[in-house]
Amino acid sequence: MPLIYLDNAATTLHKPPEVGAAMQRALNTCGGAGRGGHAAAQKAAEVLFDCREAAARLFQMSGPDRVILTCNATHALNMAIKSLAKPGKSVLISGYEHNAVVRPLGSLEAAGVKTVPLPTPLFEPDAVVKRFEEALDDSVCLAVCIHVSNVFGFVLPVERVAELCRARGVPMIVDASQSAGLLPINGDLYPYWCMPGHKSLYGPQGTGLLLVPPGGMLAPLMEGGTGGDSRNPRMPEYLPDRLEAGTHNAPGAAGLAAGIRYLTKNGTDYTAPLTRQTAEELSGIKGVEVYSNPACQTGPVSFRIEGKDSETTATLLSDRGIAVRGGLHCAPLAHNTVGTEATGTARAAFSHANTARDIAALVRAVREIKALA
Amino acid sequence: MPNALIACRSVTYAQRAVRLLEKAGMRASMRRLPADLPETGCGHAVRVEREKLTQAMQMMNEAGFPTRVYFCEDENGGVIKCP
Repeated sequence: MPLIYLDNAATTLHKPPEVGAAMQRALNTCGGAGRGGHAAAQKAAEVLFDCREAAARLFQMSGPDRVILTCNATHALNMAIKSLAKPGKSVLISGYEHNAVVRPLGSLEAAGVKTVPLPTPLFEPDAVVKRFEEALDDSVCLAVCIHVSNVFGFVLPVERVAELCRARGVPMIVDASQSAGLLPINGDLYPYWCMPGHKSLYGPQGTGLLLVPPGGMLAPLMEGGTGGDSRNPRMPEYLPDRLEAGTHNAPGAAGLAAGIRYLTKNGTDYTAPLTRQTAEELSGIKGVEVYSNPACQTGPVSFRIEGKDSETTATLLSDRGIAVRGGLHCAPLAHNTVGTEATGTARAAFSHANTARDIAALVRAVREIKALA
Repeated sequence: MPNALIACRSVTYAQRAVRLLEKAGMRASMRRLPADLPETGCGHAVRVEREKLTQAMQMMNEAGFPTRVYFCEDENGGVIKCP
């Protein structure tokens, strides 16, 4: 039974073939970037630079130095959060943040950092802006907002929130885990943007990006070798070296660059029709609750089958050859906000490899499972 | 043709500079500097033809890559103060 893979909000499975080819080439040709003057070291440096340039182009940035290569979005978020959150101050977060935001902030609680989740109702972007506006006072040292909810696909108005933060001089971090590769992102705008390489940028697992805004700077999360400035016992003051200690994942960067170039060539708006079709067709099944609003949704669609726990729904779909994710999606805060924390939801999310036939198969299977209930 | 070396603060800066100069039709490449030359150790440099040094430094400065230190290569590939 061929697998219909709809768990792309976790990791895209079907990468463009050039991604694997680029990784294989890098594996066979790259030494340690910046660690020598020989051809293999220079090749590795070229691969990293190429990845930074590809990302800078896709994210409309004026230069590649502010593209920081990370292990994943969680790594980027930890770096930004732990540098910008200040003891004795508050950090505002939306009601849709992933544990990649909630847990680093939780670890800072003992240091006197207070996390303030804002009541941000689902699919109400104006309310999100209002809540941030009301809460941005002198006690706030940082705002963190997810761009697209990894559970509900809700597109939060991060650009409008960024304007508020900029006006008040409060740094802002955007978790672009679900939006990078799907929505336009301008890395020269005010926030720090954190994203994985392995979702809609079609890179491999173990890659991610942190886009530092113009004039922005962070404290390193790790210290170590950078291949330059070696007598300095501290990390260099300049980017990207300051935030990239240790040997880079050159094959990963090669794959990520290939994925980004694929998007630059083929466009990033391919999933919106699939999201809409899924929401519409599942909504037509009696006893299936679908979380949808095409006006401010992209990527994932969450749903619940009456009388079925979401993990059971996901298992029954898996038995029918369809991969979706059930449970809390590492985002209990989002489920608390919407009121789905008891059951979780089943979530379908799409990639360039999915077609309307995959959606039809999902809808057929959900009907079948509903009929079992 | 003897070469000159323009010190850069990181490998990424050196790469940007090489791209910039190549785009302008200049022959440019990267090389590491000897360990004792940059005070901080392990430096990267852009290698250009010696007669293009002034032009290359001017282009780099205009593009926002501050350049203050430069060297020359001797006939054996060693790095010396420019005569």
